[in-house]
Amino acid sequence: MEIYTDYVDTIKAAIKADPNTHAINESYRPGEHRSAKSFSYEELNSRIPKDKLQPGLELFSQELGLVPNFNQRPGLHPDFAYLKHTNNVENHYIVSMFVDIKGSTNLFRRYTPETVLVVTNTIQRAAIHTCLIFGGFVHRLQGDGLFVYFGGRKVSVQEAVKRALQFSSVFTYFVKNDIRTLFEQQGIEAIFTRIGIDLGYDEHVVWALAGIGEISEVTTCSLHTSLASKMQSHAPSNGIVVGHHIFQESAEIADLFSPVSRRTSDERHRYIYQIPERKFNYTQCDFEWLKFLKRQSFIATDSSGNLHLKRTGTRSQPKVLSNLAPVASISKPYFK
Amino acid sequence: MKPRHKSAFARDFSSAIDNFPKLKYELDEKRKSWIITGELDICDLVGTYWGTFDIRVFVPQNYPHCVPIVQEVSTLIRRDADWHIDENGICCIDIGHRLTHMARMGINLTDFLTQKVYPFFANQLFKMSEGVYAGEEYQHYFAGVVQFYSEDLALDGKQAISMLEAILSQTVGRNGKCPCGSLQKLKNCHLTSFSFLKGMDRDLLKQDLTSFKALAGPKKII
Repeated sequence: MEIYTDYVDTIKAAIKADPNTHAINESYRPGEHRSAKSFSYEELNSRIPKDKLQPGLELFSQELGLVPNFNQRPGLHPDFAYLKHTNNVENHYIVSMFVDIKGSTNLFRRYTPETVLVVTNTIQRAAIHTCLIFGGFVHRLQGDGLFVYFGGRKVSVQEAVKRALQFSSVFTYFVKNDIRTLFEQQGIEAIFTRIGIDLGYDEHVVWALAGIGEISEVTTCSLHTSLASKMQSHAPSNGIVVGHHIFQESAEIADLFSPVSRRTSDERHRYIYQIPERKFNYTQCDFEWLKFLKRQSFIATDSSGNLHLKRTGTRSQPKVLSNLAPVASISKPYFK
Repeated sequence: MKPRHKSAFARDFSSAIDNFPKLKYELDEKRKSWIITGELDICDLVGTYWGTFDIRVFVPQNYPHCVPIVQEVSTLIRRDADWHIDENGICCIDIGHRLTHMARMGINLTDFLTQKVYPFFANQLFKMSEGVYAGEEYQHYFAGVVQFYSEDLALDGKQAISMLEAILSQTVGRNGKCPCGSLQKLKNCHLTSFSFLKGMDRDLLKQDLTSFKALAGPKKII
């Protein structure tokens, strides 16, 4: 899709500048002074500023007609921030998502901690920027991963679910394709994501201040927030597992969900949570995110099924006839 | 109750949507065919997006031995013979002989969409932009059949008549003389064209023969 080129290039530059990369690629010359320096954190901040989308992602954002809101404070969802200074609680639905990025520890085998910092931070910034485009709220950073909310007062449940699925699919695609290709070129073991998502309706979610004083956050107390975290651990590499409520709110794409037990061939994995005395059985489903992504209106697929951003806006790609001709000239139409 | 096994069509469709994800299908019991509907995005070789067509593809239940009918429902293409589309949006994606041959061999849905449907619509976008098609096209009506015999089977009108008569009367074998009049053995001359036509429906061949003869004019009576 080429929306993350700037992020990928930054990671490439960091890897290239790493002193250990030099040591591997250059022959040893006695007496030669090694002056190679890692890609610095300052360089990262200048190339991928925290509060600015990179051109590819900005174009993507424009194509979707969405504007990211950078004015967020972790642990303080703007719609419920007022709870910080009260003893009140509020019931309001929320989509909770845990994005885990696995495998980054392997980077320490090859690179200096400075390089690893740049690589993991760039991936995390790509995740945050993408999340903001889709209207998500980054509630907490967890290692390399994220705990994210979708939804709020002015967003319908269905819209929040759709945005959550769009974000998780686009970001998984980035890690599974762009990052994997880059890492394979470098002979590094792949990094992958595992994502868990669930929806708690108003009656299932209590918003309140947790903690004390400044050691606090406005957060949700909900079975479905807990289950999102649990389901993330049931997801395969680059997989997304969602709770039944997400499935329930996605009638148009019902064919893209299947119980986890179908993948694992183990009926014990069908339900993520059960309360037998109440006959409460809550199903967890694998979500076919790539098929979902391919169906999005902002995505076009070529005849081989490769994904491309449509780019119909003001900064659309120039259409070059000589690139269309080889595809078109296969046709030899007739009229009877 | 759902059938225990997926039909060949359903199996092939689930592969096809990897490449054409915005299509879906349903079974039309009345028409005895599957109807594929949805959007077809067109991208060029470097992935630049050119446009989207709403299409409908009618796939008879004797799939894979069938010729699907392709309809453009977004009405982006001018309903005109010169655009190879009729007033109902039915697209003439290829010469009937070629499609019939494909049906006899058995089509694969992904291949059909990739090799016939996708290029047809890419070609329409090319023409919308440039005023002409990117490649060749068959002439309309029987002139297109004559062109097919000439360009694809290497048979001119006279040779086509001889070949069709030989096939219909079953009077020639591999080692016999080629009906084209070259004096070579068939196996060393028009064997591929012969085999292609031999696989066609006899009624179609008879129809072609009649039309070729009509085109050649009445025989002189001596």
